[in-house]
Amino acid sequence: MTIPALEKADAVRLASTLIEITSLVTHGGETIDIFTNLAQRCVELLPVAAAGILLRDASGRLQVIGASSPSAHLLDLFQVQNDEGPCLECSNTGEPVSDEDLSANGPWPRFSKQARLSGFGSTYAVPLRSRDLTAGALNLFAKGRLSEGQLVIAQALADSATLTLLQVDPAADLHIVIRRIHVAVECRNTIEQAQGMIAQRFSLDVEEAYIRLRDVSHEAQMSLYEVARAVVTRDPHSPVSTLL
Amino acid sequence: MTEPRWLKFSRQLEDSRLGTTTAERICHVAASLVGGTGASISLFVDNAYLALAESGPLAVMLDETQFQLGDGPVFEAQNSAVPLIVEDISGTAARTQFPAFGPIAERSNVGSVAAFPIGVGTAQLGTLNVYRKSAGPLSGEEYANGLIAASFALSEAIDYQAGIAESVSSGELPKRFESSHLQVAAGMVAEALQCSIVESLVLIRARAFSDSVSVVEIARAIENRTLVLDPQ
Repeated sequence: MTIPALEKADAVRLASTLIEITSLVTHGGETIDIFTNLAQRCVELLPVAAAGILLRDASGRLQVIGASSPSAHLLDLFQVQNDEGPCLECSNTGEPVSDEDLSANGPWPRFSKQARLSGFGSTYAVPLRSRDLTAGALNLFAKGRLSEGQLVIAQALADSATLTLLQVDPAADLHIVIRRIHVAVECRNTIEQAQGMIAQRFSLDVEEAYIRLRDVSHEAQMSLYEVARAVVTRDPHSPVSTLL
Repeated sequence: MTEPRWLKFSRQLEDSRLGTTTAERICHVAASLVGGTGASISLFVDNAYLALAESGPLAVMLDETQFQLGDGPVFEAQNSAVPLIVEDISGTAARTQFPAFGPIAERSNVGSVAAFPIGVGTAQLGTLNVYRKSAGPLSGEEYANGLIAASFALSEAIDYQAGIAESVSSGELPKRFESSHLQVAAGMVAEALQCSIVESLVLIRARAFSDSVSVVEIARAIENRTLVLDPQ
């Protein structure tokens, strides 16, 4: 594989992100936290407005595990991809796909219409792939087009997500990967349940509730999932109960 | 593209001639796709265990044995979101873990047991159990099918708790309790009524049933604050 030369600043930022991800994995971080982090880094490292990682769960459906923002329009864009869209195609074929003008005559008319309405101009999906296994895809939304070098960065980030699932063992059994995805989905469900509780308690909308949980997670130096779990289980001993 | 696993499971469920209720059919299909000689759905309701459905006498006996002894994979898997696979029920580790249940399972020609949690997020309702003849790990496909069986069982478990009769609960889409809107709405109801997430899901399902709409519609209305649920 030939790798186009990266701008020095890009290379440094990519390296520091990969170091951060590796460190999260070796310290036993939850998949959901690592993937949420990765999606946020995509938006910082690349000229993209939004990013999300979708994984294929045991049932064969795509599940959002980590998005750069929990906004409703973004989640809807991911949701529609169980019928059509770049992530569905990319996860099926294991090859990167793109639609650089989101025109109505493109490969995914329903998806691109919704993406255009959300203010995006192009979309890219790169696979989370190792050997024969494609676990899902990293989906990027931009206003303009990405360069070849930027797509290499996107693939590097997707590869680090794949390694998170395999955890250094390229021959990791299918059931180990499925279990990790299952746990990540249940962690996400827990975070959503906590968002609902916080939204109700403080009369916030769902996105504001997410930001509140994220702020508490920074303050308490706990992962987002740990904070959510403390909220949902109403853990009286957790520092979360005093910080909220 | 190959058929998604959940569609294949759903098709087998529809075609299954074994079992009279949906929950029983889930057990039969689960036993067949997870390599078991029997399967069951056990629920934890009001601090007690009960069997919602079983594929046959072997599963009935092994469920009852666990409930009576208070020992077995059902209890271990109950409080976890991760499946519990006991690869060798006669092995040293299993002997220590399940001193009472292990030998009885072994005498019933069971080599391994898999218990898949039935729940969503932190809300746990029970387990889907598969009793297998031979010892050894599950294949990736068997593991995936066990998770799918548990997600089908989730609908049945919530309907049971909402007091909705079997005859009207079948035929709905799986995964209906796993949408983001439902998690958010369940959290909102749990906070408003100071009840558990499981109780919230049951309330949402009961309301959807009495209004003849989908649970996701009720969930969206709660999320948009156009609907407030009362305690049961």
